[in-house]
Amino acid sequence: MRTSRRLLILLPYLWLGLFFLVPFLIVIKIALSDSVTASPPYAPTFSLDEGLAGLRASLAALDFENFVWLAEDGIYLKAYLNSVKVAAIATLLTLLIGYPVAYAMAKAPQDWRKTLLLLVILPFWTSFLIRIYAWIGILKNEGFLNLTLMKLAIIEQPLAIMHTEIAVYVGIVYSYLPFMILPLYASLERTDGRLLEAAEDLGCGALAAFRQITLPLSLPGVVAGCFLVFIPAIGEFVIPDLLGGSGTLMIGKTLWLEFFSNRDWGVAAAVAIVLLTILIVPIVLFQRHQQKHQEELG
Amino acid sequence: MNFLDPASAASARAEPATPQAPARPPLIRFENVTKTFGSFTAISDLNLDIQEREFFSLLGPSGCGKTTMMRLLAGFEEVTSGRILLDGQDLTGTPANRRPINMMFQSYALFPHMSVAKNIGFGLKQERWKKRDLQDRVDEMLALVQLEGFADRKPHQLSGGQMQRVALARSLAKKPKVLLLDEPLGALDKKLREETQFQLMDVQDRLGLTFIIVTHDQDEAMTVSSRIAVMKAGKLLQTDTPARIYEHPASSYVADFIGNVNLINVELSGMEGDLALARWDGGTRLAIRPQPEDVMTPGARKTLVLRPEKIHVTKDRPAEAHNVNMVEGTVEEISYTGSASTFLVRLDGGMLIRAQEANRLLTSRREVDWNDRVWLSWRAGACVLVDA
Repeated sequence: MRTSRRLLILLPYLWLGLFFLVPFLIVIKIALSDSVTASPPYAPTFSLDEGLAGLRASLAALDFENFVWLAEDGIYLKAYLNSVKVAAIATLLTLLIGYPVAYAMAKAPQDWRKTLLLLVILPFWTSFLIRIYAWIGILKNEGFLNLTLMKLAIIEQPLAIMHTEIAVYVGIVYSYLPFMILPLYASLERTDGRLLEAAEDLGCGALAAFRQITLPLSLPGVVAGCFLVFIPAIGEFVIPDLLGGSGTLMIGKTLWLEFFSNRDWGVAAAVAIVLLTILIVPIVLFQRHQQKHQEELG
Repeated sequence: MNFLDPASAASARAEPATPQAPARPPLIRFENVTKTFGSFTAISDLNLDIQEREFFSLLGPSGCGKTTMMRLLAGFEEVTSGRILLDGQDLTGTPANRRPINMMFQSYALFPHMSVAKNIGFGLKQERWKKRDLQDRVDEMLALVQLEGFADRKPHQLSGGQMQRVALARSLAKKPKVLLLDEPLGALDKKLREETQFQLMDVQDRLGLTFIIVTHDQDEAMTVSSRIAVMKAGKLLQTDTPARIYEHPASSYVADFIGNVNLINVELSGMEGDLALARWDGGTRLAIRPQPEDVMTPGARKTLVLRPEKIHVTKDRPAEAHNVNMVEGTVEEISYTGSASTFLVRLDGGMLIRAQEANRLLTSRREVDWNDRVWLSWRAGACVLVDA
């Protein structure tokens, strides 16, 4: 009984160790290595051919050169900052669009809500990549949007949206909107209708009741939604790569370029580790918030 | 939590506003009010006057329309036809947030993200009270419900009784003309409920407000109210003082709804002096002192309303008298409730009668026991007749 329970608890740790910790250690090791023209394209490589002495020599060859390089070349800092900026603005836009949608869903008649919820998740039925390609078809110069606007004689020249930061925002907001709507809907739907009646009874107008009751009570949903959008948006690669132009500098794309174009695995691994460290801060904040919220409910 | 000596609170109630002789126009008037939801009629052509400073109860089973009446008054629903007047002013079209009526919600509906003080001051804040005045009023309300020192707590840190008091303070903070209470004590345990009833009566008396309470608990309605309206299926069956409702019910439904009762079908046979005579199914002759408003047509079928505690249970046959009714039967069941014992007595005709005696002696000294032959007797003035 005791042993079997221990084994059961061990399983997730085993899984995490095998598929997260070990690969992560390998990435750290590569980040500390030097780039060489060989296969694999980094040195040193650990091997036991030369015995323990060789292993010690390999360990001694590891250094923080790649991290120093990241700090010295301004382009990386710029890419990180731009990623944070794009993710933050996209999160704000998602919130501004998602909140009214979630609010309307929560206020919809009971038997409509399931259908509306289904409609929100429906895009997930189609591959993420295909949906982003669809946006290329909509946004490009001779795309659906420009053709329609020109047909309607609203514009004469096609709008240059494709390959700009605007297209990246459109892509991120579109892709991550469900992650904003779902937690918002969950917390808005839970709001007790009698609280609003009580507020009205005490002299509150509809707008004041929203500001003083609905909004503060939905804050946990707002925080959850923002983190769920912000965290993956920082490291987003596909959207800036397909919709953004050469001017859109984001860290996910930088990482890809280092890895595949420059074949500098060391720098690419260093970029990944710094990105992870940056992401840990909001993730820990999010966990803390969730825990506090749970305690208040309990 | 002792708000006031219960005895003095009770004596304060001894002189209620005189609802029977309204000298002034009523504070609240329902005029031919009908409210329908789709094909369902919740309130049907209802008329009702409520005076200032009354503690008025709407009593009835669930679905009788009592909650709808309250929501119409609060302004959460609009009447389908008819109108509701407050101080002679038609309330139709006045939204809930403009009515000088506040409500204490069932299960309180406290704002979970606000402190006790913020909850109580919420209504004042909407009226943009000055900070100083708002603080003073909140303190006054906290003192009223004896929650000083709880101002900064959040609702989830309070007990059920404390939440109830915060809800009361919040709904009183604006000093409304009318306070509506929707099942205010339903979530409390019995002992706390009884204490809180006295608290409510005390507060109502001290502030001189009009309270309207919705409840399905008849004991609660009897205890706190100056008048009770018994409702059924969207109609008022009887509106009267608790004592009148209990002792002179307008129908067998009202009699049955309030307290325990024996309902006996009888046929009137005539008058003897100032007493009406009636025949029970078995042929037993009964004497009843009629009420002034009773119409006594010989041969008419009526229902005799006889409360268990008005019946004496004795082993010996009581002395014969023209104004005492008596029947004989066998004790089938005795239920002991501490202060009283209830006897279920099977009459020789087969009918089961419920009689209640106060336990003046210790149970070990009780003379009546299971399966004993007993005499049930009651005075002609201790029962009333209603239409069958």
